[in-house]
Amino acid sequence: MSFFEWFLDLHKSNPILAGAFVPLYMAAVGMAFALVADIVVRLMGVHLGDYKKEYDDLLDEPAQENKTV
Amino acid sequence: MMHMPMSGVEMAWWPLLLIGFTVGVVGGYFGLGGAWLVTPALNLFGFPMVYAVGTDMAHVAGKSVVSTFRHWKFGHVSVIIALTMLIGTMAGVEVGAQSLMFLNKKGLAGPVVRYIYMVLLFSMFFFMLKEYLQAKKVEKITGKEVKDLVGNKVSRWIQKNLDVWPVIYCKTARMRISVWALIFLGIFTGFVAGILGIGGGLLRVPALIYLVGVPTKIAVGTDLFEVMFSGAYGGFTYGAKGMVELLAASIMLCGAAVGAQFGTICTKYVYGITIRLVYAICCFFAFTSVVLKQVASGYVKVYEKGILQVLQAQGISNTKAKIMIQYPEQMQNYMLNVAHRPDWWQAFQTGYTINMIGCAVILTAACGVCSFIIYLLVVGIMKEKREKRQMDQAAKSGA
Repeated sequence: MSFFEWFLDLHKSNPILAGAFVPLYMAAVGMAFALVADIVVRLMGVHLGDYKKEYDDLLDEPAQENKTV
Repeated sequence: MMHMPMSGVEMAWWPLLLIGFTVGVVGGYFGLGGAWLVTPALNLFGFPMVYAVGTDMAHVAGKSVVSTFRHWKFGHVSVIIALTMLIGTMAGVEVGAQSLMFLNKKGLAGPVVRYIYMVLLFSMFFFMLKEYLQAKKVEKITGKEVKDLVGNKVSRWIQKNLDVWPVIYCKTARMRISVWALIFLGIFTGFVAGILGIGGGLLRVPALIYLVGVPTKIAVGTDLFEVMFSGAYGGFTYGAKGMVELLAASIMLCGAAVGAQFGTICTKYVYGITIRLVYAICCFFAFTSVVLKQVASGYVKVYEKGILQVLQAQGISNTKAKIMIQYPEQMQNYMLNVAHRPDWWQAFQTGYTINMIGCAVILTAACGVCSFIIYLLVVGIMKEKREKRQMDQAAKSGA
């Protein structure tokens, strides 16, 4: 029996548990993809940390009527 | 072709992967869940509407984790604003959903939802485009490049005059704002999202920019953090109702995980004002798609009541009949051979064609925007590498 057929059976026997399983499974797979992609993109030489944003200087300034950077 | 165990539908894997990738790029760039794009796209490829919404919600639960993780590393996420707004959002969505049920009972849900959608999308398109053009005018006059616009009269009024205890300090956006202002905003955006039956990212990003006064990139990252929770909740409820096709959601997530990386990383290389311009263009195409849906609904009125009665007379339940009227093959049979109403069949065909054109408009626009974002990403990465090489060479020659 495949994993997706098992999920179908789980929904038939316990819909609430199947409902709870969906976001947990999706979040776990998403997180795994995020970590793998992090390594791949880093290997491509792209800097993935915090960086100097265009609005950084502006946020330190006192309030103005129309702030543009 | 793959067999989907929950819905029993046979579908190829590549459209799912492509839809996932496209919505991943666009969603990561704008900070949206992307229900407005996924549902018509799935429908266009023959995926039943009832499963399209649930499957989309499930994939959003995974995709938003990928996007939020990246935006958080870039410093675009304000956790305190997102969590505070989430309190109001949950309450607002519930009230909105109840209002939608009330409108549904009165038979007004369809047109009301579409008119709210049209007003919102056109306003966002008009306002953001106007703002972009004004910024370009300022650029010409001053000769200084406008990269982003932070705050306006409304957001500053909220920050100053709604200064009711407790007030929080947001380190990421370096601003102070009352918790009540954020909760109220969450209720408002949640309420409208509940009525429209969407996640709410489409409204929260402009609300964060124009009413809270955070920079565009922080609005995008903060919204995605909220989408993570709304997606998880949607995945749970639709999963419990048996409306999630887990196999399709998993394939979409594979594409979305890669696409979300591209879309999110691209925000590092573009200015906030560019994000707003592309957002405005997307709003315009979404507006066009909703207008076409409204036009198509005029044709639905011709046959809907009659064909539902015919189907019920055949012993088909009302719920099943409402699903059946979305399928042309079945409608051709019932309208021509059972009801003997060629005029219904003609109206059905016209309405169906207009609806499909609407879906194609939004899908084409999404593909175009997706390609543009990838182009911006490639240009950005190449520029960064060139600058790094030049700096290394300068350092070497200096040494």
